Amino acid sequence: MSCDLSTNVGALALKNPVTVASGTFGYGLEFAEFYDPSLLGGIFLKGLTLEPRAGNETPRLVETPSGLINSIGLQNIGIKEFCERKWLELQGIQTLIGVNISGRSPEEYAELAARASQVPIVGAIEVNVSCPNVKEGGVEFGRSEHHIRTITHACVEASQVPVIVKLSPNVTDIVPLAAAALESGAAAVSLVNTFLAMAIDVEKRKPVLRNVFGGLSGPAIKPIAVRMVWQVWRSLRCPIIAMGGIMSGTDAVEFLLAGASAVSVGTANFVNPTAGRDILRELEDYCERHGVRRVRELVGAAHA
Amino acid sequence: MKHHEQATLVHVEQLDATTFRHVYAAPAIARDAQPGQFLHVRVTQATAPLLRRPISILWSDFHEHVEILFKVVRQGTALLAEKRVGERVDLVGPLGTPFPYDFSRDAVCVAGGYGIAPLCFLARANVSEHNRRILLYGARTASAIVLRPEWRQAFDEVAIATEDGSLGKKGLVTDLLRDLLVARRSLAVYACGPTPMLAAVARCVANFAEPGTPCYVSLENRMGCGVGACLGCVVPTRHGMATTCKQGPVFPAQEILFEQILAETSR
Repeated sequence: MSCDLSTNVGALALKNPVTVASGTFGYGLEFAEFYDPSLLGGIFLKGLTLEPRAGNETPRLVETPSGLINSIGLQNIGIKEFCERKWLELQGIQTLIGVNISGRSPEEYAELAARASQVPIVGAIEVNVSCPNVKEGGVEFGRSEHHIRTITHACVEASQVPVIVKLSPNVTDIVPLAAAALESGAAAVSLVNTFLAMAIDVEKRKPVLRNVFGGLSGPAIKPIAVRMVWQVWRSLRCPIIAMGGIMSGTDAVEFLLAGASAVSVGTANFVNPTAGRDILRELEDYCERHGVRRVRELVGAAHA
Repeated sequence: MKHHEQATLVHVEQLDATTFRHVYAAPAIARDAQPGQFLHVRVTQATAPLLRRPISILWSDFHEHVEILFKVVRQGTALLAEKRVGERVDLVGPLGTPFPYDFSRDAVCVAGGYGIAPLCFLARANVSEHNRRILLYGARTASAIVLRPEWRQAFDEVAIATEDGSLGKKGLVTDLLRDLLVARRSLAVYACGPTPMLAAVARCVANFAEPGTPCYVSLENRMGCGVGACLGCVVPTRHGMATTCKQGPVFPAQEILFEQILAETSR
């Protein structure tokens, strides 16, 4: 018996629920020598801004117990380069390609959504209102229901493809923020971006990261991310793409059971270059072991 | 081509209290490895430490075996040093851009400390009648000089400098380099070692070498993914930020903005 792995995330039909998270998979081809990215249910590309960005000064990374703090600062090639040239390299990839965008105003977000969604290979726009590593916009937008409404609405109006809003976990209650995105036309929410964090070098008596703060990812955050997915599903029963420390197929199952319709593999890509493929296989194995005929049966099943 | 291999550790040599040489049976990686490239080593299947450790390739037989040289610094390398012959080790590689090599010029390999590893590989893989291979090797003290006989054999000349004078000339490896650059012509410089040393090598070549002398440096950095995806290991260059793991670790010395890097690290 083989399991039907297809899943729907709002208006988006995915061939399987395993995607890779923005910022951890480059522009889609960095891991192509290890496995065919077309196997994945979707790929979320490195976040784009209107102008190219050089990103933050170094050090940008620090490892913590079962975690990684990064402050890359949205280094990227800019929307123009992506729309004119970069996308051509991705034409061979046969899966959902999501473009992650970050703006400094609703108008910038709308322009980014409009331009990215016109690129033929792009199937979804992921609106980043949760980057902890930039001075303007980013997580400040993500903490305000009003800003989320304005930005989501602007992107939905401008985009020709479904819009997903990626939320920050650095809030007291994530549920009203998810509701704001969905009420403004988002097809789904991505839960969660990284947790604001820092590490101090005790020998130098200084913060390790040049930017002082960064975003914590990896297995260390998984239980908190699962809790947030659980809360949003319980209140809203909405399409969720879940992420936060997924390292294995059973980690993915845990998020599906909490209420996610799909998951994103992030930091695990750095640890295991075939993480996306391996987690998909492990998810299939889980379904076989448990007699799951359709992976959709798992979505929110822990709430029953 | 990059590979992800569950390699078998076939030989371990402890060179001193904290220095180890590992030989892995990893045929796919061995066949494609080139001098200057590195392995991304997963030291544990647990999640702490989480990230892989980038370690320069010391040697490949281009058929089956690949070697690394590493020093136990913290938790990650300590776990690696605990591995026993016969154990499986999760390797990704070969990663990064290798050293370009010019047979029409004598090769001056400038090594600082553990920077010896890729330069040994470079010299041993390019033994030829066409040019000379010269090793300039610097360290703080004699015990930090790691030079096995078969590595030494790949070089036509070897000169050592230690800061405390306990072996070779007392002083810096760049003192040796300056003397050589002034005395000879038609050289190419390949360097690997701590960043301040590489900065000094770049300055030395700019000031004393015959114009047009190629100089390549291999940088060390904290890394995330190792394949150019996470943008965690960037260095400032004349053409913007470049990833150490993919665009490097080997760069033409004049491309690197060393003053900016040293200013950042001294803060």
